[in-house]
Amino acid sequence: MIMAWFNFKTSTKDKPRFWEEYLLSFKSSASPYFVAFDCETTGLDIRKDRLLSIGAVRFTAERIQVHQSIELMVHQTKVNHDTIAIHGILPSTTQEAELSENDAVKQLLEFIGNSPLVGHHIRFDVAIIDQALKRMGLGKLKNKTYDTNLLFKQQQHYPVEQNISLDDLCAHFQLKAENRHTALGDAYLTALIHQRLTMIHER
Amino acid sequence: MKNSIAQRIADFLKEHPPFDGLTREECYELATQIEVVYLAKQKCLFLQDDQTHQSFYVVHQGLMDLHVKKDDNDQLIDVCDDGDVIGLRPFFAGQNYAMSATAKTDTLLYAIPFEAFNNYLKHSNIANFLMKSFASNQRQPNAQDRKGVLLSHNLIADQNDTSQERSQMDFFQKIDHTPDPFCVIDSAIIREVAEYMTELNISSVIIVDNELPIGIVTDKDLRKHVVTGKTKVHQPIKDIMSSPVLCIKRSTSVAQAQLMMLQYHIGHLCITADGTNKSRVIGILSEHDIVTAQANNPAALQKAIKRAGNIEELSQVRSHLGQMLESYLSQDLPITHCLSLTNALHDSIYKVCADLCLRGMSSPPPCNFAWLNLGSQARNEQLLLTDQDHALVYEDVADYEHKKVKTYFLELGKRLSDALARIGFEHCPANMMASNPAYCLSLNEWKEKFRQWIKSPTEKSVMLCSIFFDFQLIYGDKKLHEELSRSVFDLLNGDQTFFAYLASDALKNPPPLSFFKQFVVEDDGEHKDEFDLKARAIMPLVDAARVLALSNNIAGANQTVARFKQLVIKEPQNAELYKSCVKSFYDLLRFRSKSGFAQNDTGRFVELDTLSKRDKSELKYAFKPIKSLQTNLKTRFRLTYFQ
Repeated sequence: MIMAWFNFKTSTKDKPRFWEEYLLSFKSSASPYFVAFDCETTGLDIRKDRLLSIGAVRFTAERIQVHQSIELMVHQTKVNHDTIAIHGILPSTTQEAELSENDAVKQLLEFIGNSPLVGHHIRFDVAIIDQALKRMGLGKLKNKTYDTNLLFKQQQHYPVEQNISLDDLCAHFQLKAENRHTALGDAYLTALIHQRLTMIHER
Repeated sequence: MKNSIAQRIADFLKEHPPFDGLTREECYELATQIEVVYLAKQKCLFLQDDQTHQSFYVVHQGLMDLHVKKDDNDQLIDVCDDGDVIGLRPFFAGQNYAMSATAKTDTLLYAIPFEAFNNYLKHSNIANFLMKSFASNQRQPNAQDRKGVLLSHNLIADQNDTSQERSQMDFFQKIDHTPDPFCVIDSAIIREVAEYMTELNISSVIIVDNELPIGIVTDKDLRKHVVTGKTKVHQPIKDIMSSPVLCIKRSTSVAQAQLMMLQYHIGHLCITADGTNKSRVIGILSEHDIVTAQANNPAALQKAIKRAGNIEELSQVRSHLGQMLESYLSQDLPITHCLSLTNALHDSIYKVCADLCLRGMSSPPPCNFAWLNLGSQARNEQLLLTDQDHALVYEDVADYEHKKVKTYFLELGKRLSDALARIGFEHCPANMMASNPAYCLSLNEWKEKFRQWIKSPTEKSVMLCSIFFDFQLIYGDKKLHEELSRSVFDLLNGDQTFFAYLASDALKNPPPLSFFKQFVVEDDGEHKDEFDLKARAIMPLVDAARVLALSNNIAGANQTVARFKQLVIKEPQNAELYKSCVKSFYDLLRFRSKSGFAQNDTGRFVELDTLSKRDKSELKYAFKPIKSLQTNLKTRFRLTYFQ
């Protein structure tokens, strides 16, 4: 396991196949859908903290197919007791998860392809994935990104420095915010919010 | 691990019919195949006559308007909210959409592929729910009940009493099947079986093993397997039988049976003792039986009434009607259907009854007359057999003839009330019947009586007014009825003092819930500790509707619901209150009728201990508008001093 990981890092010329395909996808036609995605992590420090789970769902302006989604629990040994209460993922769960971080990132990239990504405070989620890619000796995410936090503030002419939480947005659009703080649950809510934000634009 | 979105959707579905009939696992399985649809305000989901989509829809959040195009106008027929199902019926009817659906607010829908849902149709509770919903909604309106409707919250509930509506009610009657069907053992020779079938002129046989059904052979099987030469006539019947045979219980309704036939593409069902193929064969039910059954009942009752040659036959029809209503109510068919059906049939019963009584008289009537219904019968608000309340009015005749004429009509009145009693409507304890000399009067006498009641009101006269004001013509001269109505309206015109009396009478029963939201029960008498549903909940609505309608000069509507609907138009500022009164009224009526059938009485008194928690909360919900309505009356007629 360690050897495989070590190999990735050294042999920079020989990138894994999924990465090549990921890069190639940007040369083909634009994706017909967005992907909303969200990560649960051990904390907010991009360098120190690690991925616990990834949730992502494809959607269009009006439609979301439930099965067009992934929800991945990542095997981690690192534990941050301060954040367990927030994401509700017990250390035992991540320790028992069978999916390695590398495989999780691979599945994510296969799922998103060249689709534009939508997230709430998406810069953080992208940075976490970029860090994981970096540890695999690969480059950064290339997708276009949309942040529901920023989009909303632009639309409502809120000051940029004001922080709008996902819960605030759910309240604003009167969405039932159940299932918060599971990666896929949050991604799904973000998708619903993005649909509403872009719909307002159309009007 | 499980998909969080699907899990969330499954939780939602599990809360709402028909999906509450599925297990949690099945809900989840269904949820994984769902597409979530976001419709911004005013966006259209489908248009009337559009081809049916692959999926039907459940509203998760938001409101959907359903419209029907009628003479180039879009008519709003329903608003659906959380948990309501849209666009499922076309899959069964094999039609395009019968209405348009548009988002009233931003709306989130779950699109469920019909293919995925189809697998669960074998759950009998789901099939039940659907058939119930379809039957009550096929012609949009009248889905008054909160419980389990595909289209809820009807905004327009016009009571078009069409024959089509009635034919849908027939859908729920129990079926007449062929008893003692022809059964053979599986080793019987095809030719011999076919010979028997020809001889007995039947189109199907059940194949049994030890009295238990194992298969079925129909004309079609003989054609398909034998006539084509694929199977020889001397082979055993088991070679061509369809197996296993689908079995149902005797108590299965037409609707369920028909759904099964549609689902499995079969034309015959086997009826067994317990509804499975592990019990004795009782009968066989064919598509033909269903067709016959559907052409039956309310229409048949109507025919039986028209043909009735004596009072006993009418009495029989009325008891059949009772049984039918009881089964309709137990299947939660909308109360509006039940009412319009009952009214039409009662009307015919009265008319035929009057014909029969007149025929029994020694001579034809000496002058024109009108027989009038009073009270709840006149308002068409009665499903149960209650007391009779009626009166008779005849033309003014010369003084010297009057005595003779009055004697004649009193005799007729007596015959009428005796006949009604034999049919099942008990004599009125307060003697409000045409057989009473006080209520069998000439037109002028009636006018004078109403004048006295209205111009010098007493507690008793106001009470009588409230009963007599709702009179309705049953039989006889329409002009007499109209003339009397007009004179009553002229007398009432603007008489604020009298309206105040009437309103005060409407307030004689305080709201049905005490300060602590407890039911107010009777504190003495025969019905101690029981709740008087009629006096405390239904009559306050009826009485308030009457005084509000009369003081608003609303003529022509003598039914409580019709009165409230007119009031909605006259007083838009109170529209919400009146609409909720309509709903409460229907709910209370349903409740009363149900408990009346259950207790075999008038359903007036309810023992609180026997109520389920759900019943109690439904009742409390129905009581809600009564208090506001009474407050409204108090302010409007300045009754604070009266009380």
